[in-house]
Amino acid sequence: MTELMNQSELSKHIEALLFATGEPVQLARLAEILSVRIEEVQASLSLLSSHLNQGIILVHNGTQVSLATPPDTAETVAKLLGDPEDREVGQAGLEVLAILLYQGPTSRSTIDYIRGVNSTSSIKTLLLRGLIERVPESGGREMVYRPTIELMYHLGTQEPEQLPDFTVLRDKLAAFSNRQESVTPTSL
Amino acid sequence: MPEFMVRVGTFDGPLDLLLSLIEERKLYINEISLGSVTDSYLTHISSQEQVVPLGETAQFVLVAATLLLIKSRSLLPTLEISPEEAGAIKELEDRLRRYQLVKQGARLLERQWGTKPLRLPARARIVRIPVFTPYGIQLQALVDSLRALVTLLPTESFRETATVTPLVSLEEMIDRLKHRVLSSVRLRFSEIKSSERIEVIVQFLALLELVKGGFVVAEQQMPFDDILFETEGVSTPRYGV
Repeated sequence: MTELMNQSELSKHIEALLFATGEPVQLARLAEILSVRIEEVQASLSLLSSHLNQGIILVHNGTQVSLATPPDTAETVAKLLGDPEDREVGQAGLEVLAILLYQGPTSRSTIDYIRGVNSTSSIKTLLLRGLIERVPESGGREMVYRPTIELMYHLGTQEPEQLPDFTVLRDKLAAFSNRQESVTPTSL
Repeated sequence: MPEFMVRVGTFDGPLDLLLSLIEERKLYINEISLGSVTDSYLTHISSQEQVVPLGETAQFVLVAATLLLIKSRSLLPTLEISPEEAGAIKELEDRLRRYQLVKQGARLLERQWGTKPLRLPARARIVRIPVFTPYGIQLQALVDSLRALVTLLPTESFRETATVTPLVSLEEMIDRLKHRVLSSVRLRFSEIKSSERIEVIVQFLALLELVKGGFVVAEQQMPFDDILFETEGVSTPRYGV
């Protein structure tokens, strides 16, 4: 790939790659294939998103990206493909997902502290179902959990930011986590 | 409070229980509301019949201790509490407010969970049409065909091969040497010696023949020394053989 590739060229190539694979692709992988920085890939995603046809949307969770059908076509697509197997996640699971989606990547001990109860089994179930993943905290030594792109499909959301009341809940939760940064959780 | 008895064990930890007690009464989270639900909370955990892990029980008891502190303070306004205890009360309130937000988020997620799922592009399957479809093939027919085919196969044949190197005949060599000795009059064996071992033998035999035939005289100073040849009567060159 040439270094002279501009953003519209880049977005064209990303669209071709995503179309050709039909699967979610790591942003880092796209950057590697196209010989550009991840930031450049991210920058051209919004351009690509605006250029896509109405029947195709771009989904991403911050690290992975894929093409998908838009939520308002779900019923129509289900007539052709059938309903996806979509089991409930349960109250505890939903709470863990809410923490990870609205607050961001979180460690197990913090999840336990917020919920006031041991969340190990809920986390394990979500991991097994591919809805969350365990990664090293950026620049930290702790392991944190974060939402996968698959979770976005189940929720019918292009990105976490488009979840209902996202900004309100995120800001309110951020206020708590900032306050508790200095306090070491004594109890769970 | 009989209705609470039914729900024993369905609460996911002390915060879940406490929050539901407060929300049931449509109260805000503060010291007053916490004090007012303390009795219900205690009734709950004391009536818990299910065996819960010790760690879980400890969490319930820990929260109960803070609630009792709050309750005592509301009953005895003069009660002095330490900064640490005040911190514990504050922390419990904060945790409840935070948990309330998480539950709010969880409800939002639940509402749209799986209702409008996004679908990934299905990988296109390329169906290859087979070149020919064998019909009614029996094992015996296959074996017969294969046998017939085998008889048609060319058989590998062996042909004996040997490498033949052209050799110089003795007569030829005698002729050649005679000519050379006659033309150069005097000759050393080392000068005409071929690099081929087999030719050297032929040359030597040829020279012996020449000596025998009286065409040349051979002279060797000592064994293995060079052999000097000259035509008979060096002083009177002869022309022609």
